[in-house]
Amino acid sequence: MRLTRQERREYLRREPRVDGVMNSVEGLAELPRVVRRDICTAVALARKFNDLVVRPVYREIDERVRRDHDFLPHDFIRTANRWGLFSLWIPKVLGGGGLDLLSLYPFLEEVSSVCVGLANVIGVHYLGVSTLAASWNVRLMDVIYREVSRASHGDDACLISLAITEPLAGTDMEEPELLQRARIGTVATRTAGGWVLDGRKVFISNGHVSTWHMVIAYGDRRNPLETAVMAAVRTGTRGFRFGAHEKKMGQRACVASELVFDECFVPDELICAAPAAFAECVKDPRQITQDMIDFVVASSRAGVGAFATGAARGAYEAALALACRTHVDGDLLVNRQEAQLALAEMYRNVNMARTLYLEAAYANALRGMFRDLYGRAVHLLARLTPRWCFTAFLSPLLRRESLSERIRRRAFDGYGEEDGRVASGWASIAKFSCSDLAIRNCDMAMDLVGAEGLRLDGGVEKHLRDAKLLQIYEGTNELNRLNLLKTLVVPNVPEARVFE
Amino acid sequence: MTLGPSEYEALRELGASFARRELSNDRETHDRHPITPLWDGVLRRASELGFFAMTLGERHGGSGAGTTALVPLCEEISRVDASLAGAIFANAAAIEVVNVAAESSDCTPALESISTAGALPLAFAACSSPVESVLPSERPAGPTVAITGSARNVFLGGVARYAVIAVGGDAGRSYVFVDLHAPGVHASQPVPCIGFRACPMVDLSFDGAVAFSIGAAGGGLELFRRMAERLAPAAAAISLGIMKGCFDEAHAYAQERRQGGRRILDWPAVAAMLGEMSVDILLGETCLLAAAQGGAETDASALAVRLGEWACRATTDGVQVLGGYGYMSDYGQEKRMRDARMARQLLGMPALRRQDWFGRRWGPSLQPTGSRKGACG
Repeated sequence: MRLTRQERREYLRREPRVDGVMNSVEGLAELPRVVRRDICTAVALARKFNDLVVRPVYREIDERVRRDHDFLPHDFIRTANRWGLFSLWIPKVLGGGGLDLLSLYPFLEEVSSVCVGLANVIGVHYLGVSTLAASWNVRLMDVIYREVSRASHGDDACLISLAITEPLAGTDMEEPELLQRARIGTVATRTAGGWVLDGRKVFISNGHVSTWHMVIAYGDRRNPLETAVMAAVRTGTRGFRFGAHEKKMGQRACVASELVFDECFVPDELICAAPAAFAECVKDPRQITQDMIDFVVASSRAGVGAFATGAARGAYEAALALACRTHVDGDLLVNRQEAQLALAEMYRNVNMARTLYLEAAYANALRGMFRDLYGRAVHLLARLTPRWCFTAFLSPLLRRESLSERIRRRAFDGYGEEDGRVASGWASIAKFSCSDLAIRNCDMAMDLVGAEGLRLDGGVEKHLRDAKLLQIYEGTNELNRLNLLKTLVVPNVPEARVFE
Repeated sequence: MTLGPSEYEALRELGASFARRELSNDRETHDRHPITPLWDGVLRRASELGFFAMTLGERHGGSGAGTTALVPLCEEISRVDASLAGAIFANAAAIEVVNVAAESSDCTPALESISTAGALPLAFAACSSPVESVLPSERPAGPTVAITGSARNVFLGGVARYAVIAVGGDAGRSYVFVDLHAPGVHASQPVPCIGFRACPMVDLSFDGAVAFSIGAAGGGLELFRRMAERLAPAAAAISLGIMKGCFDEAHAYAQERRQGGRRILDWPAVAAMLGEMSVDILLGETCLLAAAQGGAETDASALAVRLGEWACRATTDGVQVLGGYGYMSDYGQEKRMRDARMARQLLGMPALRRQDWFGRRWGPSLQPTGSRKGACG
């Protein structure tokens, strides 16, 4: 059988295209080899962190928060900070540890396999980091990321949260198609030298323990897509205060806060993105807002996939351990065939979930906001250049507004629509599939091990409580299913429409 | 005993009014036990209404209404707060083990103790069958037995005066009746667990504690099986009640909450979830009524397993409909999701219950025998 060059080209042009569905295959060819090394480093680091830090405290923290609602895990945060975990995945050029961002996902899976809540304390910080990055305001990135890195040498961590969800608008805020119809509550009003924020944000993970908050507000409630403002608000700013924090079923270690803004003035130098900043861009503000949302969710939803894989794995591992010491009618449970079939399915689910989030992570690396950083030359340069060079020479340059604007223009105008769709679509697949598989594994584990699985010390029930939130945040699983359709299917099916 | 429709409805109304009056306002506080005190007042008033004596014969101070009476009662209570239904269930399971044993042996000491226990329910490991637990051991000590070892996951073990406990001995598994205030008995603090938190579970340890045998030595599995057949409709009712409460809250929320410019009830994904729930509820209700009033106890075992699964699915979706709010304890959904997992385990591991039902319904028993490891084992 012969295949001419032209035939090859034509067949590969058909959907599904290899480059859009086999992201890891593409990644093998495109990404630097050092990525694998960083992934292995991150996994080993996470396992050590689990042994020394997470396992000794996670149950106690979970129970402590239930008993004392005001308890916040400051000790854990300080320890994680001393380990450098809040700056390790910030690029070296911006003062961080420079570990490859792809390696963050397996790290989160490892920690989540013990405790999703504590993994979330670390992961959500990087949601804040990537939100700031999505604005491409390199001046502010340089300022805030360096503060985070400096803090990792001291006692108190500098964490970043993302404040987007509102009391009357949750999933709406995650999807541009719905955002335009959302019941927006937090508004930004232009004033001399800055913006004034008014409104409330809720369910903000890490809110009470973060130093910086990336707050999304809107100049016009009726036209949020074209008037979005992203402000960096520091804890302690006048007009900003913490409200209550939620009583959650699981992930109790990661506080979910209410943030209240009452005539909170944010000076222009702390505005990460506002419509005027994009005046020079060819793309319209609506498209840029869409890009920013896609940048963030393509990264964060793959992260939820990693959390969920960890939960699925934790449930499986706990069930296996219990099955190895539970006797049913004198026989070890693990030697009964129904248990073996269940364990095999759970093991399959873990690996299926891992494959999916890694595919999404590859898609994000190849087509997401940091894709330019994966060019071999850029990668090599970033690795080999001493840190002091960046601090001494590059940092002053990055803080120039003119350079920041140029980089931003290039980032948004140079970002292709198809890249955004593939990265966003795969992130959605990972998010809803992995979290559904996590719930499935948790339920199977509880089913398998009987009464022992109902107990906190059985090691199963907490995974279920933790995992349920993964089907909800970062856009509900229903929204993510529709986003998959919107991004990966509908572009090739002109008859189809979603969100109508 | 079979209840007539009017008695059945009267019990349903009794359960519903009690739940409205006693449980609905303090659900979140009760769920915080042991951080908050146990709901002694609620237990006392439930006892005064006879909720813990329905399966006890009239000769011993009970109403003799039978296990069927628990069905409408547990369903309506679970609709609001399944923890109390868990307590009613555990107590009834313990009494039913004694009732079954009393049909063929002398259980006078146990029945007399129960009749003098007053308001307190009995303790029982309602989520484990004797085959799936490591049991305390027994040795004869005159007319009584002495038990040593630990019994895990005993509902109400820190509250009750008496417990019905599965033990292991030379003759096999048996049941004994223990005074929890007797020397050699120690109850742990409440074990943190996923649900039924106001029906606290503890581990009991025994060090030569004196107990009365219930039934023949080695007859524990048969006692458990017959008790489980009779209690299966009540277990199914708890799951059904949780589903109904879940649907009520999800449906009400979906009519109020707006997303993307319309009520979330008008989004097909949400309507589909609610539709799925209501179909399951309708099927469960129909089958349960048939099982409860028709006395098809064997099939009720299958129904309890299936409704346990459906309740887990429904409550997971019920949280989903409420989104982030559903995950928080200010709303009832997250508690229902947790309680549904407890309800699914009532009467033991679902896989074993499925096998047991299949064996009884379709052929030779598939009761685990240790050597049978499945079709390819």
